[in-house]
Amino acid sequence: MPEIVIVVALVCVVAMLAVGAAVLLRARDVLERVVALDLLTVICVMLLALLSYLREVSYYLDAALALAALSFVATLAAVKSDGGGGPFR
Amino acid sequence: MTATALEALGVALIALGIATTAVTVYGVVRMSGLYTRLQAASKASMLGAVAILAASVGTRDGATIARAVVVALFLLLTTPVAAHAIAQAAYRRDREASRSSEEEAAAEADASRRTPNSSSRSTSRPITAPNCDS
Repeated sequence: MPEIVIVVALVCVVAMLAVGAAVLLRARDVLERVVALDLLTVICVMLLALLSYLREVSYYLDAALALAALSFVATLAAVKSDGGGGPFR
Repeated sequence: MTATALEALGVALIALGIATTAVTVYGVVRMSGLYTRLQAASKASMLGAVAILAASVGTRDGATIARAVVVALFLLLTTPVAAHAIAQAAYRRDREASRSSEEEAAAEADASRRTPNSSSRSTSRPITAPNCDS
């Protein structure tokens, strides 16, 4: 793929990351913060994928998989903990 | 020929993913309330991420495509589960809040109904109790 396309896409993704961080800071609620963090994680996965295409190194996608898995577990644990129970209840 | 077609497909998928994610972020910024934000964030962000991961066909590298498929399958599996957990927690919280406020209102009504009989001479009757003169 032409590099310029990937670079432009990276710039767009970084801008969306900044907007997502603003949403995270402006959230008034625990669950809204969890939603914003989930969105930020998906945007980070996209960032890692684009970086992998740009540098032609496939190992960035391993980091993306680990990040997605950690985010999934963290979301479930935070939601359960907000509901008043532990993560295993 | 095939290489050019695959690269064009990759560029188109990247453009689709960026556009979808931009719409998602705009929706999360613009919408108010947890449920609307949640549906904007969970559905469209997953489509954008999967489109960008599918753009790995443009690299024509086997390892990259295989890893991208694994990440896309993982996102397709876990994003709805996480969104459902968040929505369930929000629903339970709202329901418990409305139930506790209803119970408080019922207790207040009960107390104001019982006050004229049990302590008719008491001077500390609630002001809001109806028909205290009987």
